[in-house]
Amino acid sequence: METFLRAEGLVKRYGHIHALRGIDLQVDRGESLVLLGPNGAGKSTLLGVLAGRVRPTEGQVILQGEILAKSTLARSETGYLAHSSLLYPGLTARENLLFYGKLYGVEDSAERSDEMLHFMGLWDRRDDRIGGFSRGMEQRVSIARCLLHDPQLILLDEPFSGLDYQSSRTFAQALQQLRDGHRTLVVATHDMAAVEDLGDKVIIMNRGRILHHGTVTVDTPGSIRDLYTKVIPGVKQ
Amino acid sequence: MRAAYAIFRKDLLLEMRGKEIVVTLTVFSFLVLTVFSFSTVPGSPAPREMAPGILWITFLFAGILGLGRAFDRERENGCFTGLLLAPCDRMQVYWGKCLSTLVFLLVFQAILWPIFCILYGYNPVRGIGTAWAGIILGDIGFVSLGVVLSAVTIHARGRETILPLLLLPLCLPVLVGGVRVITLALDGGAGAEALTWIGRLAAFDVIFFVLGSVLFPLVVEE
Repeated sequence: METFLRAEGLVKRYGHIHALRGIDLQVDRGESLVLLGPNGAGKSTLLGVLAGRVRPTEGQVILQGEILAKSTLARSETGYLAHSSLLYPGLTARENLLFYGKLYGVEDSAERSDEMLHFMGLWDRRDDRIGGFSRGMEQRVSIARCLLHDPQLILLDEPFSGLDYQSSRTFAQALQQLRDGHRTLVVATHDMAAVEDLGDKVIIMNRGRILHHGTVTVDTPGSIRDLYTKVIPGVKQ
Repeated sequence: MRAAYAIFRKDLLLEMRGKEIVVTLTVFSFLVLTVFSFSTVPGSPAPREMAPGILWITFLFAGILGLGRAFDRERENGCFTGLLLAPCDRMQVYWGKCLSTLVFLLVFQAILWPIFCILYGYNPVRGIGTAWAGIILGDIGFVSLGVVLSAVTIHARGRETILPLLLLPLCLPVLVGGVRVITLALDGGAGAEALTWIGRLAAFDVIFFVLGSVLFPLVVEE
């Protein structure tokens, strides 16, 4: 399989705090990788680096053979769902998507925005301002924003946070649809169920280091929770 | 320029909907100009002599207020991160924010100009071309610096204090040039001295804008 994303020796320091301590990883095209770890493990920082939002102190990210820091093209291939929605509360759902469509240079951004609003089940609320949306609905618009430019690499930071059970399942199904063998997913989550639903590979991180890197089907035939509690010190079953 | 234009249009749309920045700046500046006009002895020439300085000090403080509001919108929901993730040169984010902030400043200044002239006893049409050349060029310099420093302080605690502390000393050339041009304009319009000061303001603008365009992508890196 073709290597799509490679991180080499990623270190990120904020002053004396080491957020990442030498991360190496490789993801093939079409694969999905789930990042697990407790709060402060470095998952969000790692996603930030992979998205080109955070500059690593050391190391580099190579996306489709191009060094991420030097390439705006690589950013156009990346969809990033952050902790925050990145949406303007004063704009409607459709206006937000139209804006991001233009920002990302999406051809026919109006048509694509409408398509995404239908896909996320938000068509009826397209002309309502984001400021009046529930957290779950805002998250769905945010997901539409993330997928708007049809990225080949999708980075999701806690995508299920704030979603009720139904929305969470709907979103998990939507993600399954995106796993078409071409798109590559990297998901940081606390949701253990998501690993078995979404992950081809799993990485368990703690304190900026990778403690376990494996294939979901081989390494975790039973419960991912068992593996997690073994790998992360101090976690009780 | 696609991304810069998209950011500019988005900011205009938000402002047309909320009118938050222009209304706030106009009300704030109106109050400052009014209070100053009543704070001197009636009949004394002091208000007229001080008027250009009062006007530019008002512009600067209102401008800082406007920058704060404009970047508060970007801070909410992490929208600034959304701009930085766009697959474009980050200079375009800078240009887009500069353009929208400049337009907001010019709109509120256009509303304020006749009020200023009435309060301080000037003919609003006399020397208007020179005066507005000074205002526009002064604004460009102010915005070029202000957007970079707002981006630097966007996530800082106490940014309302830090931004003016950083920005005002750097804006002194703009303040001095702006005051001189307005003084000369109100005294009789265009002249060689006014043109010299306009030229200096334009030179500051070029320096500040080029510096801002180069520095912005560096200062927004996390």
